[in-house]
Amino acid sequence: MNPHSVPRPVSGQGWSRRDFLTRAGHGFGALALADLLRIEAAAPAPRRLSPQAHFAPKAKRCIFLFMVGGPSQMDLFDPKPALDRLHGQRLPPSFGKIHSQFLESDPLCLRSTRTWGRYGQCGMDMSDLIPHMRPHADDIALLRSCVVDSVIHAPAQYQMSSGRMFMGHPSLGSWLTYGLGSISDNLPAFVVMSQPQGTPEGGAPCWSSGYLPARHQGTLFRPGPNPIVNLAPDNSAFTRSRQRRIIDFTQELNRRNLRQGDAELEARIASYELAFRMQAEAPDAVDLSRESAATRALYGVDQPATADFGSRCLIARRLLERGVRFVQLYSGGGPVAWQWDAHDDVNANHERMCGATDKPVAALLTDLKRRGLLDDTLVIWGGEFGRTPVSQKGSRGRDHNATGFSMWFAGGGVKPGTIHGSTDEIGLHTTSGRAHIHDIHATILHLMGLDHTRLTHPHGGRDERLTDVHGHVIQGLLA
Amino acid sequence: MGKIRRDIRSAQASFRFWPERSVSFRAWLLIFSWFVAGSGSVLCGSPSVASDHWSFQPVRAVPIPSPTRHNPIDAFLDQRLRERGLRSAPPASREAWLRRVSFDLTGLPPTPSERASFLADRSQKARERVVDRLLASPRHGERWAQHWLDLAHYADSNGFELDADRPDAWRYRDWVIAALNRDLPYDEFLTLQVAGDEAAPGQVEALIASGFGRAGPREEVAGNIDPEVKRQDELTHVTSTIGSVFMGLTIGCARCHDHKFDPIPAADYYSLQAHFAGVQLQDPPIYQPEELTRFQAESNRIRVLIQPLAEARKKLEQPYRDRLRAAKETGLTPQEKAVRAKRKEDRTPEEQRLFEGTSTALNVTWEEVAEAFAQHPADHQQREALKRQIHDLEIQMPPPPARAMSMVEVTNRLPETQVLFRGNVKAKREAVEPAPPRVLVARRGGAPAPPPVERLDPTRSGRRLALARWMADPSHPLTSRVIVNRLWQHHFGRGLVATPSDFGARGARPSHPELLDWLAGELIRNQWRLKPLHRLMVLSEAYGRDSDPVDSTSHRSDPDNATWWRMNRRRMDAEGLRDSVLAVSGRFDGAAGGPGVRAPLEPEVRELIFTEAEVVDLWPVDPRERNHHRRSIYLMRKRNVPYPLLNAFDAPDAQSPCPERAVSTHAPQALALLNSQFAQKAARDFANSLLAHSDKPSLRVEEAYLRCFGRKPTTSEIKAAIRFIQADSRPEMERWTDFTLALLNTNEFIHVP
Repeated sequence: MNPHSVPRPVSGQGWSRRDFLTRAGHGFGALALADLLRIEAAAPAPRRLSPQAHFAPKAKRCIFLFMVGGPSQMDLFDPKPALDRLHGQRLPPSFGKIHSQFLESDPLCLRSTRTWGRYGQCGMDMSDLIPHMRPHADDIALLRSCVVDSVIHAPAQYQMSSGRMFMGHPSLGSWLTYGLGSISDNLPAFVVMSQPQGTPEGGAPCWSSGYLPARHQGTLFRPGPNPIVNLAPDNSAFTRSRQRRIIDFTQELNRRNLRQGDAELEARIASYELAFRMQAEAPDAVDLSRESAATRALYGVDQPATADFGSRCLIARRLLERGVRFVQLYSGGGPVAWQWDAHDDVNANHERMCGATDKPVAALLTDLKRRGLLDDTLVIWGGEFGRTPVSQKGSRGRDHNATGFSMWFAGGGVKPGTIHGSTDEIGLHTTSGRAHIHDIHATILHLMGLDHTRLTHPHGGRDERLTDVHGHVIQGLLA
Repeated sequence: MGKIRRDIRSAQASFRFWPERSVSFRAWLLIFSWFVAGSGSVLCGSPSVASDHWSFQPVRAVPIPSPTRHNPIDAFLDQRLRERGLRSAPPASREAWLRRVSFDLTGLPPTPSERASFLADRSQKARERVVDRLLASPRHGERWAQHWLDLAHYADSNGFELDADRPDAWRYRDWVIAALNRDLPYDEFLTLQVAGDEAAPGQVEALIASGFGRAGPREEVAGNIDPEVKRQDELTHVTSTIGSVFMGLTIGCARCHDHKFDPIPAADYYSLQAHFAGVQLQDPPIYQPEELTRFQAESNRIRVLIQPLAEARKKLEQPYRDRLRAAKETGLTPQEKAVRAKRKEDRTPEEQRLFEGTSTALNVTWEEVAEAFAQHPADHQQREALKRQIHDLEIQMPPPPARAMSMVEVTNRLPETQVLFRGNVKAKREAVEPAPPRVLVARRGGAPAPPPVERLDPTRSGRRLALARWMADPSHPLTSRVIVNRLWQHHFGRGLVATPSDFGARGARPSHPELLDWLAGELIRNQWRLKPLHRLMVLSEAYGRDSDPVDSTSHRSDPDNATWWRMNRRRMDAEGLRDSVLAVSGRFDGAAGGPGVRAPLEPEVRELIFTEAEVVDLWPVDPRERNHHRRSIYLMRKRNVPYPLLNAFDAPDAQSPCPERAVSTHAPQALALLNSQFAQKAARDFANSLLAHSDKPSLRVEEAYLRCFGRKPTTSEIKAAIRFIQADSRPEMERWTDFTLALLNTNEFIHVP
């Protein structure tokens, strides 16, 4: 898609429409629509009028598969045979102190009862919870040494999203669109899809633009004919042609007395055209009936367990194809039973959550790959933290653990079939290749062609960054 | 001293490593801040920090350049225009001025009759009369309170994961509105918010005012939160908010290191924080005994109604719960069963743990119950009906008896404040006493020395009162400059200092330092009253200029309008836009005060309200529809659930102080203003009131223009409107709705001229 195209005519109606296009040709045709929409009036000297990468990007777009609640690393990707030996015993003090949300002082070790295997050329460990991921072992780079600073859901989600444990800072997707701009003229650059059972605890601040302008915030998408809030009026009498007539009249009034070169007013005129096109484009983007039966089956759209997440993964692929820059896709939200928050029974919880996501996630990788999109799409999988090697109050569940958990990366610029970093014998603390969230963010920006130290925005007396004053690119993950 | 020298040496040694910040980042920062501060004395190890930075110098007594000029503001601005050889723009039309000043002072457009009476008043005093009317209107306090609440980052809920409602937060919001309406002098306004409990012990209003320190988000979660970390976060929040809001100092930066750009060492940050060492965030009761009795009687009445329904629900659920429990018990392993069969005394400690763990696993959750009911439609329906009935009663529960969300001291035995290395509570360094930033009390600086700690009440330390009195001293170099600059910013579209909460080295320098100082002095001369300053600003010629940058030499040499040779056109802010839509559509409800109103919220946003419980309706809309048409400042602001319309138009997220709102232009704004239920309903109401206004289409069009744009339409605009309305065959009402919806979406409506 050419980002420098002027607004396309949509069902031309009468003189006003033609007049608009004429004006578009002469008045602000010189400035691309995409640029107009980036202009911020009255903001103190916009620093990045024409956002662009700092260097050649490896990935043009990105999807973050966010497993809300904290998946258990030692039941999925990081087997710990030592736990079998220690099962039911008090945690040996040699492993150090556990900092978790609820734990008592001398918790009991809890083994994983999963069956394990090694897959791919690289021999990546995966448990029987994620059978569909086995063929993708050589596609992904596994990071076993992730660290965040909070063991509480909301602050950890904020940190995973924005680098800070507090609300109010721009999220990763906002920084990416701020730094790189938009690819599509017809869809928002940053899309969020939460699960129907509910939102993550952190809520809307997880996809907020913080102190960046509001247009950089994530736009919520959902399946169905009205994927965006207020995309269409809740009134069937408002047909598309009636809407066009109203917009045309609005634009006619706007163009009276419009001074040439008034970028702010012209940007507002253009934003109505974009909104109108979005009304047509967005429902089309989420319309899965346009996919073949085979593709829908691949994602598990027609099976009850995978229908929701499969649909959202498939919608995500359609959005990425159509030029959406960043998709934040949540698995988990609302009732505890519908999050990866396995406090009471890790097997029961993860069988349900993996049952809902394993096939769709694998399908997304397969589908992106066969369409040639995986080469320049970055796929990220992970939660806000991992889980403890000990049981919570003697139950079959695990508490939160932020000092050593697993995430994986695939696609644009990522070294496939890699295992980076490690945790101790029981999966509690990172022992090598420590990857703090700031390092992970620095790496994501790097793959997208941005230097995390140079992507800044002035706020409260500082040049704020996604990575605060920290962060190192994790070289071991790069192809 | 020796320590500092060591730091310097190690910083020099590590200089080449700086980009990695591998060694002694802090020491490097120290050096940097000295360079900025331009203070040689530090190199000798003296703890004093002085600075030539402009904002730390005393406010100068500035003569008015040409005292004959009617308004001193114009004398200052014209002087600069003359120096730069710029010509000022012509005056805006009287109509444009009226629309501008009405919006700036009250956040609402002028009504057609206000316009008519202003245009009919040809006297010299016509503008003054308008300004006095607007300043006396209760709408004025509501408008300006919003600017203040942006700084306080006020909301009606806690934020963070539970985002619990704050039933008493609105009292602070109403206090701000009332204070601005009665033009409470700014020094008192400040003092009550920083130290209400100490300044006026026993006074309810003062307690409520201290809620300034409570307006921001607060983390309230279950689990192992380190209380020391949490406490430090709270203190940081209040200290940095007060530093930036009242003094324009980004002192929060000095929490983790010596300030990178301003001469504020970390120790100074902690000295400032020490003023708050004793504060407790408490909600003391402020209700009368009758209120409690009434509350108890009413809630008991409702509880009695709920009880049989709750019992019916329990009875209905019991067999399901029993079955679920039984199924879980059969799923236990033989070992678990054996442990559960043992008597408590016979279990080993490990077995006891296992027993407790399995007990948790055997608990039947509401999710499981709901899932089981879903298989049996009849029972499911019955259960849902009971839930609804119970919910409908629960929402009738009266609000709890009044409390003041306040920041108070309850003892004068205060904990010691220590410098925390890199802000880490585990890395305590030297102890500090409460003191204002040294740069402001330095010998060359203009700020007064802090007064001795004053105690009006033996149970309180008086620290915050001393701080407040120090900040509100007329000779303080920052306080008066910062607030007059905020007034200027909201009237003229940009502050004289373009970074309104940062008067430090990183902040912008004043474009008109003499004018800023003269205005600061004028505030003091008016006993800190803000209304005379508003009056002065909006009655200036500069304020009355046209905003259109017509092609001119002035535009070419000062395209950014740094000299105010013209006015700045502004896009309405989110609340102003919503309020204006209500006003022109004829549905505006002017009721003032009280708890935040839950207006209808888009379903997809309502679904975002987080809960882990089974709740029937997370956003019970206010049943009184007229309340939905109240001003935006009276809407319930749930921190994590922003209204899409306000959110799209850059309303701040209330997570940190917002000194200046972003102004962005993007498609979801168009979607919100075209398609939202709010916009659609307003357009219908607007159309209805036009139909009732006159039978003549041209008079309806004229009325619509007067309301939306504050001016009459031209002949060609009337023709275009009528052509649009008649070119369609739908019912009259719908055609007029299309017309009004289009007007609400125009650039002219959404911008203040």
